[in-house]
Amino acid sequence: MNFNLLVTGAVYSSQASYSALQFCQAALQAGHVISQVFFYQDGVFNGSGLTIPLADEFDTVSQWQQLAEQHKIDLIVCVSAAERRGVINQQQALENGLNSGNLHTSFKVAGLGELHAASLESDRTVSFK
Amino acid sequence: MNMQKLLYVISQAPYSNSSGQEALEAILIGASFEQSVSVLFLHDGVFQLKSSRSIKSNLNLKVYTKTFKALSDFGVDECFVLANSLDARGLSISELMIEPTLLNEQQVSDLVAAQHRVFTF
Repeated sequence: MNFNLLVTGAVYSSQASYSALQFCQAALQAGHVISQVFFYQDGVFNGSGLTIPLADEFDTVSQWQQLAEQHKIDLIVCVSAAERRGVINQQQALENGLNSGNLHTSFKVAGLGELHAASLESDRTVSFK
Repeated sequence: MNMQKLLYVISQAPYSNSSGQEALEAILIGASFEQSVSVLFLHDGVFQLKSSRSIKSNLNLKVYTKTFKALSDFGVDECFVLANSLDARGLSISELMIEPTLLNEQQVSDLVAAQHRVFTF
């Protein structure tokens, strides 16, 4: 089965992202495909390249990076939600006269159309709030 | 591809957080994909439909809720409301900006089961 995921909880303060990771790992192990993980609302904070988790706490962002590289999964933060919350890439920073971008290299910025396209092409969409 | 049924569920009240506004943005994009799109308002989400006439516009607030009035113009097929959510909050249909289809819990369950995709906000 082909799954796409929607994550709307922030990194650390919400369990959403961690649960989504767990789901991905289990699904992949069972032979399913994860096409895309779309981070919307506060979920965009998972795309920050500046998180510094404590040494004895879970490093969510690095785990997403590993999973995405290993299994060719698209990690997308929603452009409108991310801009409002200050998660942007270098180009957006330049275009808006801001100091610098902070988007983690494993993530892309795209619109809600990407979420819908993935949902229409997959077998199931699973949400993590 | 056959027409897919997409349901958006709105469960939170407006303005205290961005959930409703961002749900609305997702709905408008979803409706542009030429699928069968419906919206279900339940729990505190029913407050999103309360008439926005009394909201003062000097609060530096974008009154996004008034767009719910025009959902059908954007291609949304139907709006549903869980009746008990209105009752529990002392709201009557006449206070809402649209005339949604009222559902009971069983009908909500059936509605969700009939969808291809459900996005909950």
